[in-house]
Order: sequence, then C-alpha cells, then structure tokens
Amino acid sequence: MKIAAIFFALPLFAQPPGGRGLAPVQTPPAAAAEPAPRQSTDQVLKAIDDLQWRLEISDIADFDKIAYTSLAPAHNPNPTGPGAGNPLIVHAYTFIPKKLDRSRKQPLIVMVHGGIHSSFTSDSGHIVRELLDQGYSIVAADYRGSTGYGEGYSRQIDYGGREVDDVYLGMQWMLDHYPFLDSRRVGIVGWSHGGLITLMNIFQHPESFAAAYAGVPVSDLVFRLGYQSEAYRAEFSAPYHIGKTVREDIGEYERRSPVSYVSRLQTPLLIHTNTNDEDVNVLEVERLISALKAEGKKFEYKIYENAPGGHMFNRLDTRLARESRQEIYQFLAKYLHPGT
Amino acid sequence: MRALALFLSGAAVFGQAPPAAPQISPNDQVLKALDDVEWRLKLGDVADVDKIAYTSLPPAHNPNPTGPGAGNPLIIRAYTFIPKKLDRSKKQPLLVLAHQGIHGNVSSDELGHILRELMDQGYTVIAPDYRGSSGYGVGFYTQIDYGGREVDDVFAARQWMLDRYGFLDAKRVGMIGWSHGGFITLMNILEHPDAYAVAYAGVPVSDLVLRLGYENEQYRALYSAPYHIGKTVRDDIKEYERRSPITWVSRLQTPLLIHTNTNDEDVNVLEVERLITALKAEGKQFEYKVYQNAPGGHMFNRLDTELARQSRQEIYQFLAKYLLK
Repeated sequence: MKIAAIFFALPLFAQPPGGRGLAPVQTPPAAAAEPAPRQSTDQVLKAIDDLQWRLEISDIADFDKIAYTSLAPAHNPNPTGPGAGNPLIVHAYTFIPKKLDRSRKQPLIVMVHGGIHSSFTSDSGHIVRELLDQGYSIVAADYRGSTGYGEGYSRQIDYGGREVDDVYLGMQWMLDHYPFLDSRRVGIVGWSHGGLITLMNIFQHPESFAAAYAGVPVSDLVFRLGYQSEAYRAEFSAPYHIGKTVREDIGEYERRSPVSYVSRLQTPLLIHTNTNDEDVNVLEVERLISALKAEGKKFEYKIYENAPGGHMFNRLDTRLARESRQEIYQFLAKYLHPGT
Repeated sequence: MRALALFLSGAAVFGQAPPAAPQISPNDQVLKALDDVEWRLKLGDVADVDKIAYTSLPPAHNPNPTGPGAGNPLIIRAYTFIPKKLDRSKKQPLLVLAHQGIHGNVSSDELGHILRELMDQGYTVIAPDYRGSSGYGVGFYTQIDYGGREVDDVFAARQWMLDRYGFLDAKRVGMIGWSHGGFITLMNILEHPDAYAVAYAGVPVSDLVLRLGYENEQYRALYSAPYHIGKTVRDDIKEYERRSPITWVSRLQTPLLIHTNTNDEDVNVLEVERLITALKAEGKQFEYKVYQNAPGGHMFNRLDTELARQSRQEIYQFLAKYLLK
C-alpha cells in the first residue's frame, strides 16, 4: 500500500503550488486541495533523518522509534471497507538520557513538532540535546498528518482534532512502558502548530501535565485564516480535512482553536511570541493572551520585540535563542525538577 | 532510465485501467540503501549483521532462451543476524524469517524490534529478500513468483545458513512470517515437512482465489501481470490454487501456530479461517488464535503496544518449545 501511495503522488508534480506567481489569485488553485507535492521524496528524507537522529543523539541518549495505536481516522468514507474504523497507527521518537538513574522517579517531556504537514526532525536536535542534558526523557509523536509516511498518512491530518489525542497517547505509551517515569512530572513543549497542540492538550487534560511551554503558538484558527493565503486556507477546507471553509462552519474552526478553551487553564504555562513573526502573527498570540487575562488566569508570557529569526527566533543557535531557551528551561524546572 | 520509463507509463494509465507496468516506487533503491544502514545501527550492538548473496532457481519466465545468461540461477540477497553473545561452540537454533508485503522487503521499521527480541533469546536469523522484493530495481521486482519460486528462494536461504555456519543445528530450524511472509512460511513447511521443527504464520495469506475475490482490481493486476502469472483467476483457477497454502494442508507435519485478527484490513479474517477449517477437516494438530478487534489490524502484533508484546511472547513461548534447549 505504501508503494501505491507514492505512485499516486507523482502526477501532482505537474501542478505547481498556487498563489506564488505573478498572476493574481482569484480562486483556490485546483492543486491546493491536494497535499503538498513533495510526497515522493517525503519518505526518503524521513529515512535519512531517522539515521541522522540516531547518529546525532546516541552518544547521550537511548534512542528509539515506536509504533502505537490511537483513535480511528477522523473520516471514514466507506464504513464497510476493510479495516474501516480501525485505530490509526502512529509513530513516535523516544529519548532517554544514558546517564539517567532509572531507580528513581524521573520527569518526562512531551515534545510536539510544528508545521502544517511537517514532522519531528533532527532540526530540533540541539533542543533535544539540551533537554537530555538536564535529565529529561522525551517522547515526540509524528501525529496524524505528519510528513514522512506517505500521502495516506499526510491526508489523515486533523488540525486541533485527533492529532491532539495522538500526542496525548504518545505520552501515555511512554508512562506505561517506562515505570521510572513520574506521571506527576510530565511537561509538554511545542512551537507553532506544536504550540497549538500543547495548548489543546493542557486544556483537554488539565490533570495530566505539570507544566507547559507554547512557543509562537497557533491560537485562533478563525483569526489565523483571516490573514493567511488561499493556498493555506485550502489545506484546512480540503475534503480529506475539515471539508468546509470557515465561512461555511465557523463553529468547527472555533472548536479546533485554543482561544476557545482558555477558561480551562489550570497548568502552569509559559507563552512566547515575537513581533516580527512571519508565520504566526503576534496579533494572533496577543488574542490568546488577552483571552487568558480576561478569564483571570495565571500564566507567564513574553513578547519579544523584533527578535532576529522571526518565527524561528528561539529555535536557532544565536545567543538570543539560547538565552530564551534558558528561560524556558528555568520555567519547566520549577515544576518538573529534573536531575533530582 | 528503464525504471523511470516504466513508472511513468504506469502513471499514465492509472485510474482508468489496471496498471500495465510495475507500480514501483521511484525511490525503491534509495530507501533500501538507507534501511541497510538503519539495520546495522539498530542491531549492531547486539548482533553480527551481514547481507549476503546466493543463487536460487532461475527466473520463472524465460522470454528469450538464447539471450545472454538465459536460464541462469537468480541471485538473491539475504540479511543474517547472529547474536553477539552466542556460544558458537554449541549447536544453536536457526530462524528463517520471510518478510511481508507483495513487493515488500526486509524492513527495519517493521522488524527492527522483533529482531532485537529474537537476538535476546539467542536465535540466529536469516531473512531473504526473495524474488519480487522491492529495493533492487524493476528487474528484480518483476521476478515476482507468488507462491512459486519465492518459496524456494527462502528455502535456499535456510540451506545457505546451515552450510555456512557449522554451529547451527539442522534439526532446530524454525520459520516465521507475517502476511505474505506467513504464506511463504506455510508453503515452506508444506513443501518441506522435514526441514522445519516449528513454524509461526501471522495473519497469513492463505487462499489466493478467495483473496482475489475480495481484493481490488489494482491488486489483482499485480498477479495477472504478464511478468507474473500472466492470467487472471478466471483464466486459470488451478494455477492460483496451486500457489495457495490451503491446497496443501494435508501435508502438514510441522508444529504450527497461526494468528489472525477480526479487524485485519489486509488479510481478512475469513481467509485465515478458511485455512484453519481446512486444517481441522484434515484432522491436523496445530495451534491458532483469532484475536478480536485487536488495535493495529493487520499490524496488531508487530507494534510496540502492550498487546503486541504479549502476543509476541506467546509466539516466542511456542517457538522455544521446539527450538530452545
């Protein structure tokens, strides 16, 4: 089946992504309803990056990639088809510091990758190393819709929906599998789309996490699709995804937005945003911050002013990025007590 | 170039008619090269990992008998794993593992954890990429001979291993496989009842006629393709029967465990139940278990879930009865 999926994808190369050319965009391009035309190299890049992970991290961590089952696909076009309604299989990366004392209870960090249709790549290698150095074990799921597993999996995307459960169940797998992990010291960390999934997780499961960090988080899909391009909006209204535009079902987009659930906040939370973020506009995160304040919630946040790097400002190797991450780590350590 | 040309012509007809050309991934060999590195990195700490080449029967088809090398034995590659801690001064058991998938291959994503578990138990393993496997280009892909010479390729792997490593015990050879690999496992023990001490067939393809009854046109076309069987089931039902384990159940002598799962989306539980019924009708002794709605469907006991690990423990206990002293 994997082979067939790759085979399918190639003809899409004939259709360039819309909205980038000189011609004005009047209607969503025909290709926009299809996943991005990168699937035939998608699995190759993943295979290379899996090797990269192992080489980059094995000196300080036991590294593994695991497979578990999550909720069934959000769409079920043929309920009588073979395996219809079966749980979806999700892969996750696991990291345990080699030097960790497994005879004691230890904290866990759930890392959530970003990007609409992206994956957990070794681009996060430096951050993972920093967390391992502090004594954190880590689980990072390639939740439904992630790249690297062919077109079929990419089309399972369920933004703000079952992807949130995929990540939660990755945490659950880790706690079940490694009894030395302390279920009362679980943190969750994500940037961008990963920040959205982080927020949704702590709002849906307030008891499960001891601390959370949301970096430049997608916070309000209705607002977001107000300022995004047609091609981006089409990723959401695609038939295999939400299937309707915001105009056609605003409630559905609200339901998938963290800003709708701020009243549920109980978890210690740190939010970062940046005024020159070219992807998640600072206004979107400010809407979230205002909503939390209006509810009288306690949380921490910082709005960086024109920090070089924009959306990536604290995921780079600049001095500012490292200092910003130190603030994140100090915040997490207050609640997760690594290395104790 | 040849692979690309075939690929594009396949794409051109896709959606209208069953593809006339092999549906091979353009990244077939690249992914294999990467996975070969992955195998070494995943198993290297606990096993001596090697990849070997041997010869098997000639191609099933011989379109030009006067062509260069016509009728030559086909070259097959196999992965070998020997536990690093193994005491080679004693006789030791061998497991032959047949990979899954029509046009699949020995993949570390599917089998990496299972191989580690087998190494821990002290099994030496050989896992061949029998004819038709992906990862070796369109030429090897179109050598596919489902239920035919692929069965011999795997049997020859067993023989190669016994010849090469004197510490292996020919009386303690087991065979395991899932899906298409379960099918090849069944064909091996039914064709060579004396060669194996035990066998495990997980979610095995069991009856090609029944199977192609419930599969789609694209899948059926992989069988009737000119480079493969060359005829549809309707055109030659006997040929498909001949290639089906269910036809040979009367030959069973090997201790056998079968697993199936009611929500299997690939090998329908009905297909495996037909095999189980046929074995019972012959009065054969064997073990089986029908899992009810086990999460993971076709992959249910090849994942990292608790249920998968428990199910594999049952397999290992069954194998150990016949293979471990």
